[in-house]
Amino acid sequence: MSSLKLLQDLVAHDDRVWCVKWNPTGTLLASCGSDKKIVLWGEEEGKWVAKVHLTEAHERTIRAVAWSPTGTYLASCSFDKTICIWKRDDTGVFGAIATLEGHENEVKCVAWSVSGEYLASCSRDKTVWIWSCEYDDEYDCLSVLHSHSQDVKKICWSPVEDVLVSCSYDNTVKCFKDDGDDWTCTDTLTGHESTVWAVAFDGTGKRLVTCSDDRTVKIWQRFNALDNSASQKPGWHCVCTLSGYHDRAIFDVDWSAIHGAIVSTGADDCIRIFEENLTAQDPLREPEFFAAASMPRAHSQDVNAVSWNPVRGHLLASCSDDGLVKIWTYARPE
Amino acid sequence: MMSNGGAKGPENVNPQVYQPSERRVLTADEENEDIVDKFDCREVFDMVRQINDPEHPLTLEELNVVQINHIEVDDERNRVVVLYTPTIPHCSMATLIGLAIRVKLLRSLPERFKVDVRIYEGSHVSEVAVNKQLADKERVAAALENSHLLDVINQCLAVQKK
Amino acid sequence: MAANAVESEWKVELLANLKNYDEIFIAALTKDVDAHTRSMLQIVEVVGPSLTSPEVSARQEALRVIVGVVDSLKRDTLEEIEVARLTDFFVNRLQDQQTLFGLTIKGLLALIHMKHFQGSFGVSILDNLATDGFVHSLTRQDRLNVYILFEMLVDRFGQDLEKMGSNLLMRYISVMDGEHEPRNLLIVFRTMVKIVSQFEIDPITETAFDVVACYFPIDFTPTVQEDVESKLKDTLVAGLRRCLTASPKFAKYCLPLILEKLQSDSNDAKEESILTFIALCESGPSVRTVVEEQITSLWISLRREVLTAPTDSIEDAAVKALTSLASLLASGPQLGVSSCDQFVTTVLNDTDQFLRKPELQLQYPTGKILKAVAMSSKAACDKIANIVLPLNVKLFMVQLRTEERLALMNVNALILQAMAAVGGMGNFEPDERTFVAAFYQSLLTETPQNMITCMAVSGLAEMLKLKGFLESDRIDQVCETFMNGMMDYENSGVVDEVTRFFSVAGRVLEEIYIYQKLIPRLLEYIQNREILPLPSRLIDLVQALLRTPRANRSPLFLAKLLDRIQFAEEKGPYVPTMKMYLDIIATYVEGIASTNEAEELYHIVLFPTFRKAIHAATSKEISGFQDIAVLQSLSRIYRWIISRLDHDTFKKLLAALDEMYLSGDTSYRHFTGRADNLGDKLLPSAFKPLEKPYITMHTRCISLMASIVCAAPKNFQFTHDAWKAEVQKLMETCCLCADEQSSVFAAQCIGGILNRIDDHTVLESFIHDALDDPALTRSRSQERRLIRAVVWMAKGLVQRSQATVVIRRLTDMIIRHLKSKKSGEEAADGLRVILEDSEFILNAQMNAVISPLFRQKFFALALPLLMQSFKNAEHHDEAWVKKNHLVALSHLLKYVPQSVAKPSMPQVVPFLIQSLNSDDAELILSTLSSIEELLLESNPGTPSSLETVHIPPLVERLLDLSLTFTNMNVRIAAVKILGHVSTQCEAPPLLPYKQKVLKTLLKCLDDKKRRVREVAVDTRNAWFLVGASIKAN
Repeated sequence: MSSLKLLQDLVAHDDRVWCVKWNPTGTLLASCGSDKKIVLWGEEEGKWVAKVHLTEAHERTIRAVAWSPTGTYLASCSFDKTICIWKRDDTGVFGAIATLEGHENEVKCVAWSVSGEYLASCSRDKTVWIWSCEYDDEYDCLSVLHSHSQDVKKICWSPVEDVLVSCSYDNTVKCFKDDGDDWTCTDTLTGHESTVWAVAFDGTGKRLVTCSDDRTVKIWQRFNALDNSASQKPGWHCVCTLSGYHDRAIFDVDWSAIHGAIVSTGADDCIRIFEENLTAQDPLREPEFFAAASMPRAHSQDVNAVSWNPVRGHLLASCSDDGLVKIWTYARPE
Repeated sequence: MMSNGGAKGPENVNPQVYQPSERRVLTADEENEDIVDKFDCREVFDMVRQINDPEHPLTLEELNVVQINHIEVDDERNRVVVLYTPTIPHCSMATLIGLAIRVKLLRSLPERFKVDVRIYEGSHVSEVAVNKQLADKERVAAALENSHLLDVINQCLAVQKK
Repeated sequence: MAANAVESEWKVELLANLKNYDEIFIAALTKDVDAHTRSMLQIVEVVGPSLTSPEVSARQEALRVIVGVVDSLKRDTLEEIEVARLTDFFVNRLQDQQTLFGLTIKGLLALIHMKHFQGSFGVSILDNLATDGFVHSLTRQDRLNVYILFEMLVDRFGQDLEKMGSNLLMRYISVMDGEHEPRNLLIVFRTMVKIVSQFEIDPITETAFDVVACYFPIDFTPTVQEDVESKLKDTLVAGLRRCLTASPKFAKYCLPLILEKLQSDSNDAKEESILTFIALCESGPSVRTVVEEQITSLWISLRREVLTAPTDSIEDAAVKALTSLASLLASGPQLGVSSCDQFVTTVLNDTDQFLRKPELQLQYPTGKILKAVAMSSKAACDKIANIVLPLNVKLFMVQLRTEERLALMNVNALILQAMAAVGGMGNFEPDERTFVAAFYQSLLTETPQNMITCMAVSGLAEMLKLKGFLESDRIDQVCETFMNGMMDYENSGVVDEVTRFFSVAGRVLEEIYIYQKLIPRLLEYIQNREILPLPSRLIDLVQALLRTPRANRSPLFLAKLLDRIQFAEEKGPYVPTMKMYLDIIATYVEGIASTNEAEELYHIVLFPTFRKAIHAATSKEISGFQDIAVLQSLSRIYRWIISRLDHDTFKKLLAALDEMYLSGDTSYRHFTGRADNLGDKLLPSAFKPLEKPYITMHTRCISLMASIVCAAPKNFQFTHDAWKAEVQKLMETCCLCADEQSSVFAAQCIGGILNRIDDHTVLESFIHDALDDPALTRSRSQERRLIRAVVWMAKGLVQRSQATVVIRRLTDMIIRHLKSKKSGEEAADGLRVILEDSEFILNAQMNAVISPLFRQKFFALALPLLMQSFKNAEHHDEAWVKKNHLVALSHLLKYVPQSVAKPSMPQVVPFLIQSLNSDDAELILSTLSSIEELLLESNPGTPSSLETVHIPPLVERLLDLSLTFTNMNVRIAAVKILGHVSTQCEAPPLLPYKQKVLKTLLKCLDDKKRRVREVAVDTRNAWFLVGASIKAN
């Protein structure tokens, strides 16, 4: 028996909360939203409390935040077309150190590469930008990728190499890699029938999970030329489609690197957790996932994002249009 | 201060005008404090029928853009679906009208309702694209932070006393 | 020498003053000239050298002094020769530097005012004035002066200017062409109209028209202030319209312009073109030929505007234009077939298809077109009616869809209206008429009744208005059908229409027919259905017939009614039946036109019923006349009769009342002039309505006395000392009688008497006896009843706004009792009684003396007393004390215009907000409505009497009420007012609350009651616009 239980409601935002992200050590949770502020939550005597409010960096909705691999930096992006970089000083206080401008429209997502060398951002202007992060806190644009034909909703780096994936209103997911000369699009994953809202890697970087306005979650796997799975050509392939679970658009997915459970959520106010059926594993067959837990009215309105704690694997954070951030505990199936 | 000649006119110069509906008739139940009035199609229709068309000095009801029988309301399951019919199939204002309807409902319905605003099937050449855009909450949210666009929408939603 | 010294000193001073223009110095100079101790020419001479100085500024200074003096002189100071010289002087100056032009014009304006100014001087000014394009570079005020100069010359010396011929117009055009200031244009247009309509304009007619036409249509948005102050845009638009149609010679240029702008996309241009066309048509037959040439295009354009009706006002204008067009075509001498007739033929031909093709859905607008054309003349109307009415009937028969049938009947209704408007049926084919009427009649018997039946009934009512349309047999049959069917109609629309038909019948049919045929017939129907269920619909028909009082009506049927009342009394008594018949009588007596008629009815109705009522009161037998409802119906009848009675008869009646009520004399001597042998002796017991032990049956008869006393004929005065005793007795009865209603009647009676006492001494002694007489101590201990009497006394006096000292005493008493547990509520409610229009008595219809501003005066007197008492009560522990004050305050505010209450609002508003904290729904609702009025009275954008400091507590409290109050009407009112706050108050103080209000209202959107949700939707949407760049208008 698996179960999902509410641990705590976190109240600090005055409006819709768009995004929640744990820091790499799992000790701080960042949330942001339409009230143009970022709240950092920390644990005190078993309770999560708002420790820091970061305000006045953006003029419009803050759409997303991202932690650097060391947890020293936090990036935020906003409908005001800018990205802001926050740095933690020795006393633990965060301050804005840089504003990155260049996108023509709302910036929808930012993400740091696992090496900490790169920052990526994407926007309604249909582009994905790759920025280099120098030691002296200088940020330069390395590349502007024009592969998508519509707004790019979300981006995410592989946990093992400098490979970037992006998903878009044009219904596709794309992978990008530096081919030594410039960043190029290496793969285009098609299959979703509407906007792909989110994408996430598993812990190995060999699999991806995506979710879409078409109300499905898809699992993708990368096959190498050397792999023996005969039927598949090298490259990314959809190996599993989870449909019939959410009955409205699915806005976010996350894949725990610790225990491999996938969490999804969206406009049906519901949070669902999927586990892979490992018992019947046959390397030649496609993987199977089953619904391990669900929380129907997790929030009173659309749930916009979910995030697994990267260290304490049983903790899950979610945020919603209802202005709340919630922390859940997940007990895995026996 | 003085000038002659007119500005660029609307695309559909002489739209057919429909008679607006009478006020909803008050029932005894509605007067009774103890009875819960359920949301119904007419109530949602009343929210959107007086929206002004962006081009004509007419309401969406008078242009038959919104019709009561193209509205679905399910109070128990918290669902509202509004289908609207642009006056002409290539109307360039279709998205704006849809956005105005969505915003009006956003401001007028309790949060518990999940609202879909779509073009009535077959009534517009860019139906799929417009529907997708109206369903994209992120785009709608961003649009409402654009002060110019918000002005236009507010203009559509401003109450006209006839 | 000395004189010379003075003279030279004066010159020096004058020259010194050129530099420093000094009003006082100019005034002194003016006085000298007016007194003829100096002359203007002397002054000009002295400053002469400066006038020729090469320095512009020096010339300007000199000119300024001269203009200053001329401008201040009396009208008749200057001789003709001086005016002539000065005119020449200024005309010469016109050629000087442009900077001096304004001053020069000002000087000329001053001269034109002079008594001895001659028209020939004016011609010389105008000849020298206009140099092309020069005026444009002047300041707005200087340009305005030039236009005024033209206007003054045209107004005063029109004859002299005539010899200039079209030169005058040319000069004027060269001056005004290009003017663009709205305020100047007002004068420009006005003067243009005068010049064009009074002077020769050939050969520059077209040029002149073009100059004016380029302003068409007026396109400017006045500032809010301009708009509020002067309706600037409307005035400009009307001014331009008058210009465009100022001369019939303009017509041939104007018409193409109108036709062109009618094609425009702009609704403003369209509407203005149509209105200009109407004005053009109104210039009379001289423009007919020009219009005839364009008749086809005009018809097509106007028709389109009615059929598509882009806005209501365009549609209205186009309809009106069609009438004007057809009227114009019918005006003046006609050769052969009139062009109007041709036009009507065209209209009929072109609209024929719209009537025949229901799928076009154009029947109703077509009806409007036909009506418009028909309204132009009787001939046009006849022609249209002859063709369209029968046609529509025939179409109706083949057209089976209800919607289309209704549309056709609608068209006919419009045409029938046009027939009534042009003054009757005219020359309508008898066969067609019978055909149409018979058809409408045939629709009445079709079942089921529905919208078609309604339209048929209303159509017949329209026909009834046209004398001769319906034959008398048919009227008979139709009325009979209605009376027969009335009790059975299931469709309430039909019932309403039939009732309306009878109202029309009551207005237009002959009196003999109404009073001797229809009403008796109806009464027969009623009599057969007399006993429950009541035939209220038939009663409505009688009332409808009676509602328009006719000159020669006959009261004969009233006897029949009285019989029926007696019958109901004896058989039952059946109180509802009695009351029903009394109500018919009441409707009849409401129409009393003369004192003779009043006296007649006094004998027929008042006297017999009054006697029955008194008899019943003293009897042990059960009688319908003992019933309070019957007594009230009687009171209503008596009031109308009495209020129209002559003084003598009334005085006799008063004497009788006095004897009956005070002395128990029921011999009716005064009623009939002789002792009635059926009087007192036959009464079952003595009648003592004002005596202990106050038998309720007796005291209730005070209602009859009150209605008679309070309806005293116009200008009647209570002077008789006997009434003092009456007032005392009434006072006692009011305080001590057992029956609450009787107590109120007594109080009202006192109020009515006091209202009719002019003499202050008499009045004061009345009040003194009523309030201070030691004999009444026992009465005064009945505090609540006492306050009731005081309230009605105050009402009688307050309404006439005299005897302020007494009013103050009474008001003070009432307000003091707000703190009384026993009488506080009565006192608070008393302010309502004093201020509201009483439905039955002490109103203008009942001849009460009412000072036009009595509410304002009372407000001014009572508010400070109330506020003082309020402050004293602020720390009062008992919640009800505060509440009584708040109730009183809400009554006080409710009945005065906001403009009166406004100055006091800053001190009142905090109390209003405080009273929102009450849990009494009634009080809150009334307070909310005060606040609502306060908000709505102020114009949006202008500061309301609601000050910024009041907004926070008000908004907070309204939010609280919106969300939590159990009574939904309170929630509705609170949400609604929150909406008014957002539109009527300035945005800045509201902005801090915007988020909170939006959030709270979000919850109201899910209120369980739909009516709350509906207002919440409007209010929340309005709050979204707070601080946004557009406002809900």
